[in-house]
Amino acid sequence: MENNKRWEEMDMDCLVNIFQRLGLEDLTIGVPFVCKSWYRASLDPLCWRVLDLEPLDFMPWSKFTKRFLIHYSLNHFSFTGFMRLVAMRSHGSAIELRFPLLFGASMHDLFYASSECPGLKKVVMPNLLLEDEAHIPELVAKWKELELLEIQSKPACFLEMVAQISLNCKNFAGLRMLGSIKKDDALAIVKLLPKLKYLCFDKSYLPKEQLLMIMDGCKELERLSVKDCIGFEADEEVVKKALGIKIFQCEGSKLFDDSGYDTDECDPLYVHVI
Amino acid sequence: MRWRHRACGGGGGSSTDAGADQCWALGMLLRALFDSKRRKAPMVSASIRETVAVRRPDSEAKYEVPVWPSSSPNHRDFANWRPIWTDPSRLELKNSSTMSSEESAIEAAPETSKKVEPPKVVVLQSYDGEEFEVDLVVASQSETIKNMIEDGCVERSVPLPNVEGPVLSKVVRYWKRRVEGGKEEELKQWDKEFVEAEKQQLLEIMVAAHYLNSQPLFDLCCQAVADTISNMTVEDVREYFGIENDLTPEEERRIRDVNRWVFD
Repeated sequence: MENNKRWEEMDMDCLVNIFQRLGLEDLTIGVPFVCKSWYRASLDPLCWRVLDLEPLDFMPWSKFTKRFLIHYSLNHFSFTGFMRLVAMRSHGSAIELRFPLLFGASMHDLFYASSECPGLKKVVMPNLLLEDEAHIPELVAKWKELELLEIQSKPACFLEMVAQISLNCKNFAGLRMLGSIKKDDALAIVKLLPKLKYLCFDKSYLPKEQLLMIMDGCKELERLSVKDCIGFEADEEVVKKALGIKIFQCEGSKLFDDSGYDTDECDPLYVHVI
Repeated sequence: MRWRHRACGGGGGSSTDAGADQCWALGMLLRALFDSKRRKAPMVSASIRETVAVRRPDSEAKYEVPVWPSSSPNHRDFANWRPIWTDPSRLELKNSSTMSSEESAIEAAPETSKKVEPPKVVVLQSYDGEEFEVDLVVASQSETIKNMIEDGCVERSVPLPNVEGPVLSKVVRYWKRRVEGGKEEELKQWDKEFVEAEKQQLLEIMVAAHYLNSQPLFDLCCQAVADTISNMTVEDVREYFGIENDLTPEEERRIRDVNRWVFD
């Protein structure tokens, strides 16, 4: 190798390996414009397997949005447009899709994602409007390869969602959710998703009874995270049951919350009078 | 014979002797390649031999090039010279059955090479002649080298014409540390320091790791390069890699259009 290294002819494998590790901002604004071979390498679907929209700021005044607008001489920029762009680039080979947490996405975006990216294994759902949440079960039914699902808050149709996952997603292994875990929810998890490996209910309302039921029923749990929950304390019984789980995290979980109630306001059955 | 002298500017003067030698040797080599059965192998003058020996120290052994009579102990009897695959006495045969035909000797050669014991220590030779003596287990971090050894193609030295000495020394350092082993966190920390220290040559090490098929090192370098160029402007990226922009304005416009229509 002499001094006149021609990096623009660097093996496609090298380029694609590097591009796979770059964020979507670099992949859309930076990489394709460096030179011809970089543009060709950026078209490889392997670069677009992980669609991580989470770190991007889609607000109209953000640096990213402005940069995109200038670079592409656009009149207006939309989250939907950007999501479609990256989904298209993946040519169906995307395995991970993370929506931004604070910036909401519409149901249209999610349906587009479900049809354009049928091979998704990990999905981080966005915040949805209440009326849109009802469509979640039919969404997850389309992702047959789904293994990990993260939802910001437990939807009203949680039981229906679990049923659809159980029917369609044979490799489903992990769920992360925040919400109030009722007896029915725990029963559904144990009955329909007994092979769960990872479960995360941080900051949820989780009574001890439900926690024990889940630990009993899901015998293949490898990682259970129930930090900062309300409804149980890590007493002997809980710790003993958790011995079979490789990683068990329950720091910060308390029986009652700071105001002295462990109430779930919607459920009078759970009110304790102190 | 005349065309050779014309090409080399005629015979006679001492300055053209070396040139005539080389032309003649080249001619003989070419003829030998195409007509090896009827002609004798070419002889090569001492001056050329010395030149070649500097560039490729094992050329004599490797290419079976006979030399003019010299006092060197490596001097071979030219009259008895044969290519290695036809000379049964030079094959290490485990079976005592005699090989008389050329065909059976050729068949025997690949099998014999598999029976050769893999060396415990190999010498990695870089493009610029630097040598690194390493244990087999260290060199096996490269799938390429590992396969060469398993296929019996390696007796002791492994030429790596695509890797420069300084780069190879860094690669060997990484392999040695990997072989030492240790806790996951310790290795990760060492990796981090390695990447930081070798920042200047990261791209060369990455390409070498790819050529040598050493996946952990390759992944480490790619990640480090990705971390470096992430959030860089296009101009800075070009500067870092030493790339010239070969996209015409027309092509750039077309790339933009391809990505724009989803926003309309």
